[in-house]
Amino acid sequence: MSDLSITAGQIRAEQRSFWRNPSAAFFGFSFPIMFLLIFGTIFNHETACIDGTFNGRGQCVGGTQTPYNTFFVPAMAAWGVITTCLVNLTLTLTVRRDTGLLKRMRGTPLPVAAFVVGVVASSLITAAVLVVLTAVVGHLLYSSPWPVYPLPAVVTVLLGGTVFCVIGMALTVVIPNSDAAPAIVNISYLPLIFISGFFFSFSNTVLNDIAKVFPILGFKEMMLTAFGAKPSSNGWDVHDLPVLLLWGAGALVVTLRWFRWEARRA
Amino acid sequence: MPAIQVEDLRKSYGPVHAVQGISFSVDAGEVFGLLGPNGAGKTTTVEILEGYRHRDAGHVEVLGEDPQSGGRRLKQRMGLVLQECAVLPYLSVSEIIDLYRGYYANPLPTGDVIELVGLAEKSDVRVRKLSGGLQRRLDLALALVGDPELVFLDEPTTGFDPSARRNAWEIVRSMKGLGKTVLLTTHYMDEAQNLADRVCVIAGGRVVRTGTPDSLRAERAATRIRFVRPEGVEVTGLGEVVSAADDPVVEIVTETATPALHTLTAWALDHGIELERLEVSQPSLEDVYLELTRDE
Repeated sequence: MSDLSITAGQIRAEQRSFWRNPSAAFFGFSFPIMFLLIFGTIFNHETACIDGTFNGRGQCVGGTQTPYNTFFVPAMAAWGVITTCLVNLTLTLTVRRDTGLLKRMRGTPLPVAAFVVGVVASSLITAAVLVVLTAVVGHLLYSSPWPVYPLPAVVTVLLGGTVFCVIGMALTVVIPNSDAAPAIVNISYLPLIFISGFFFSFSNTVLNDIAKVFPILGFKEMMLTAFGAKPSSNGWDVHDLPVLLLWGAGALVVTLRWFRWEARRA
Repeated sequence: MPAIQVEDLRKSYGPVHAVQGISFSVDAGEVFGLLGPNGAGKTTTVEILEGYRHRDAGHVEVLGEDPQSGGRRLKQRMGLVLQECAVLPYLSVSEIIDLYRGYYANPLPTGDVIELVGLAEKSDVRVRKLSGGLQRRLDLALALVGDPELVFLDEPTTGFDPSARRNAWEIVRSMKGLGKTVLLTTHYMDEAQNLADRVCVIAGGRVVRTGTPDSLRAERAATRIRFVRPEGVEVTGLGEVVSAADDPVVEIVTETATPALHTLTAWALDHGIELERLEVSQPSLEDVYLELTRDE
């Protein structure tokens, strides 16, 4: 078999493993969709103030005022990409490292590249399905508009998804074992989701400055721009690209240097 | 050309000298048992041969190649069963085997492999629904799917019940029947006795003994004769009695079993005694192994 068909086989096996695993499928999908329903129901017909805050008279200061139903679909879609690519991939890899599956694979002629592409591509497929589902649910239930710039939207999902996959692989380096994985992953990214304004914006200089250091805020901004929730001329948000790419590059270096295929010996 | 050649292999982990100059060679088509207590250096040795670890010193050849640099080409010709059995849990038996077939240049047909390990009735069952023993059989199947010349089996029956172990032994015998070379590590001496053409006992990172199981047993030639201590008769003049005077079973150790038995039966007839539960036994591989590794 060619390396291409081996890779295709890996993607198929990864996809089957994901959709047949109830907890992976449930946690990957339920959180973003659940919050889409909750916040959609509470705040539909209201407005969001992206990157700014409402003053006492209900005016959006320092940001962009957008209908909430336009804001929260790309925000929840961005969260969905992060849960699929960062959270799910990290948990999956640490479990496989602990059970010896990664070690076993290294003993076969399967090329490492085919394995990695299989994992990443499968995560991107799942992320894409979640983004589409988010947009459809938002459109049907809350009359959210479809993405205004389809090509930037697709590219942003794929690029951001890939970066978060690589960050997930790098994160496994500091995770000692699969028992510790959920706590470490959640403490690494959930606070950033909140301070990066995924649900509502707020004004706190310290938290806003912290959020700017991490790629989660930038990815959300890129999604908002591509979906048309933030004004732009063409849907491309290059302003937030450098932080995302720098994190991707850093994570790649960490992964190539320190990624472990075997559990630490007790 | 031997399938595996190891000369003066050395490997340390920091201050721990796990392997301190091990040498052995495995012929093509042979089932070779690597025996030794925990921490003897078995796993380190095998993992160096499998290509997982780099050696510090010494010469190693696996199928004519250095496992450190053999890469995919060498992995095409080897099959591994590691201590943990690790397979994607949500795929079915046949899906996993099909997936692994794709990795190899000349794989065996899926049906043949499933048949070989006796999983025909489970081919559509997902791996996570299989019992531990059946998962281990799937592990064996995955080691065989690439039609390898050499198979590494690292403690393949640990945790098996007796009948599952017999099944696994049959599979190993059929591997030998297919002309494959097998390197087996095990804690079970009966397993080595039953399967291995030759064994190598290592302890403390060194080779203690290499040979056929029978030749190792022959090193301790003493035969043991045991019988229930008869009532009212003093046991004397029968050679070297190793059991205590108040032990309900008398045990005699002798290098020359024929005259010893003759003396014993003559003595019993003279005293009109029936020797209850009379037993004549040779030392097992386990006895020899325990003696060889006692200091470790």
